[in-house]
Amino acid sequence: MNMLIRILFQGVLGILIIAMVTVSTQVFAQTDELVEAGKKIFDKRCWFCHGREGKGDGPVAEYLVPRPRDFVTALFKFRVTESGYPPTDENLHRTLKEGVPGTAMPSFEGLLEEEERTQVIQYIKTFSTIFTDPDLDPQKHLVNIEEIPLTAETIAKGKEVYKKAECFKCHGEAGRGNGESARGLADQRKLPILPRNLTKAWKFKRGTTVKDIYTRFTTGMDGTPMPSFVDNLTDEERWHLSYYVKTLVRDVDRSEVVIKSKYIKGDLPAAPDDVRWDNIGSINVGLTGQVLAKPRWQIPSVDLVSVKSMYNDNEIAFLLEWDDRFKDIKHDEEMIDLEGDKEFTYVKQYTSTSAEDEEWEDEEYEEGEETEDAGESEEEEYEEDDEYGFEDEEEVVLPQWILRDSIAIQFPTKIPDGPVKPHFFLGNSGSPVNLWHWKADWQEDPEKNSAVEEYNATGFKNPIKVQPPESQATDSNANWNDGRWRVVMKRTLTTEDKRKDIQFEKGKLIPIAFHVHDGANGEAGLKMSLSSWYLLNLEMRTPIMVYVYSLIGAMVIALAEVWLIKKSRSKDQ
Amino acid sequence: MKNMFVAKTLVIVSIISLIIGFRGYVYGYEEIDVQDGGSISGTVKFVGEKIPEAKEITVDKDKEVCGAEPKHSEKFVINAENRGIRYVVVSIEGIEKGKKAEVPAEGYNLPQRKCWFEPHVMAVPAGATVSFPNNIDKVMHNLHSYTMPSDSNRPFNKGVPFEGTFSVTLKKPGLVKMTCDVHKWMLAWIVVKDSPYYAITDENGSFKIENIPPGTYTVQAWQEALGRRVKKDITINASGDTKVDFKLKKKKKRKKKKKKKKEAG
Repeated sequence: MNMLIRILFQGVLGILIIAMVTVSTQVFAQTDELVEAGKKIFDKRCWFCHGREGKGDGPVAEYLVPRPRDFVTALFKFRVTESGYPPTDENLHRTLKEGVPGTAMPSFEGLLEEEERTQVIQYIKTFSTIFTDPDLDPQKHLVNIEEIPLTAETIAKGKEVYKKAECFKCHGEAGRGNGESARGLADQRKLPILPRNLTKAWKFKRGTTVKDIYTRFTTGMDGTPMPSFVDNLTDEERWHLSYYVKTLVRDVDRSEVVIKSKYIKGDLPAAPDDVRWDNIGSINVGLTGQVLAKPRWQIPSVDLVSVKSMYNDNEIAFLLEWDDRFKDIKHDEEMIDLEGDKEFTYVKQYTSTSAEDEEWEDEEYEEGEETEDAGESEEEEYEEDDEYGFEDEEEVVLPQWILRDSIAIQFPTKIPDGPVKPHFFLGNSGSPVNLWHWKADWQEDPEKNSAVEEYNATGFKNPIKVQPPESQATDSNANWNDGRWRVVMKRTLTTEDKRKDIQFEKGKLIPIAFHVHDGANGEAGLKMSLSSWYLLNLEMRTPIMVYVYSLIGAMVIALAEVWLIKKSRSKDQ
Repeated sequence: MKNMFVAKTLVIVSIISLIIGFRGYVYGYEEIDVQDGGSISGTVKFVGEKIPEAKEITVDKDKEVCGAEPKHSEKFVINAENRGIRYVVVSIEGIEKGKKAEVPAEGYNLPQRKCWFEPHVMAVPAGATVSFPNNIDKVMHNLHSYTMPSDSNRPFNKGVPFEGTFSVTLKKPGLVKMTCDVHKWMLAWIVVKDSPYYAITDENGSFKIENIPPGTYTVQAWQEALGRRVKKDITINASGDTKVDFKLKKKKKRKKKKKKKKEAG
């Protein structure tokens, strides 16, 4: 009996020990094999952005906006967990599978098998202790994502929540990312960051479904100023808000390359707000950064301009509309970055020169100089703070560009006969171009007759040639409202200067291109976003005689047929 | 036979208790009943020719809520007469046994009042829960924390509307820097300590820490811009008060940074 009890007792103790040891070891399934295989993949495909040690500081990182994820600090934007908590494996899988649109992170769906993606994820998780800290287990800190159906009142309720949660403060009333708090925001790496323009579907980094939108402000986007509203808005309120935000999101058709200018009788609309502009549709022109000439611009601000055009017997007018968060109407020529050496990447743009630092400089003493309380230095120990790095932080002072917003329409000086056009970026020698450059600061200047400066160019390597004042013929009218510029430019169809100005002709396909500068983004001179050649067509109405002749012709043939039939019948008889 | 049995059981039980004990013994602080505790008191003063001025902050949004008059930075709150520095956290470092933490009746709170955190610096023991109520400001505050070191508490970013609040449990010692993304001048510090032996200096730079078990300890003073100063081998006698004074001055700029400034300038 004693023997039995003893064995049982020891057996139970043994089991207890095994249980304790198992519980004490890591909860997450991270086998060493997966991590090793993941490291091989990372060292081949990921390190040049994310860095050898996963700090997001690979050799190309400084050219990218946004920067690659820093896996050591481990603040992730796209999760289903509470603010500050790590993402689930599934969240990381989705990033690898879909990539992050609008950033340099591609989709690895074709490049890596699912097994390989699992391996990389397990390796990435070794860069930070948050993935092994049991207190931070993502499965224990999931947010509730249970979709509610759309009803008749949802959108209106969502609009109320947008007001209550003060989303407009950053995202603007219409969602163009132009709220009053939009300026001067920084991410946790102290790099400039802007609130999302909610009207551009292609800019959303993690999907535009109602569920995706809901998840973003429920979890907050760690490492950015976008907070979590999980505590102070109910689930229902957040779903209503998601449905409302979804109504702001728009995708645009950019497939059309011919801009049709509509013929109208009477005066052309002079202002952007003229209701006649609403009668014609716009063509959406895609823009990209100018990367042909220095300074090569990888991070342009404006990626889309919508164009409408009308003409009458004498003049032609264009309405150009584009989203720009800030109305930049001050301009300082000194700030133009012609050589590209003035801080063209964000890492160089961030300079800290707050007034307080200048104060410190005055008080700096040279090495070896005695300090006031030098006698006490034996008693006290002054420790350099490496851990508590906060004190060493200089104040964040983001670059304040004083550059205007502007837009230019580019035409060849002569409508080409064949398919060969001038080079789309400022033409080339032998094929000059004519540009109408509208400038926001001139628009505000009452002394200027027109806000448009016409000039010619023969390639980006040559200086531009501004036309003399007597040759300037383009008028403009513009306004900026709630994050959007609307500019009308108007000129006569033909001018006296046949050599330098484009002369418009009906019915032909005229090459047309656009250059946009967003001053707040440091854009001026050759630092811009631009489009390739689109085609402008001044629509001709079909002349009435065409119809008349067709009708006469049809009638003649009909009569002839009748006569033929009659004749053949009579012949028979 | 019997002895073997007892021995084996003892071994097994001690292994189990070691394992359990290890999990719970994280920061090495043990709460005891302190008999004849001593205290330390003193002042923290600023040393240097020019006393830094409190920088003026322009209120550029939500003036109806935040007030239209400029605010003043609390980075340097230095008494002009006696040079005492306010908002310095003086603490005993690495103390293993001592008094129980005295949690205030209303808990630890960092409210936002007229777009300003009150108080500017607070200290809490590890494991404390801090709440962030917004009972006065009819505006949304976007409370964004930054933590140091990076493997201490996790940072968070929460929206707090009027009459809203949220809570966070700060389990590990470290620094938590509180900001608001909407009202970018708002700043507060939550210093999480591994023991309840800390005090924050008043407007004269004075502090007192009481009920310390007699012994020899390291005392530290931390100020957000002037850094840390440490005094080792401070002896606390039973029922006695030990005077500890600190002098803080502006830190030397590191050589690397000096060069950068010369090039830019």
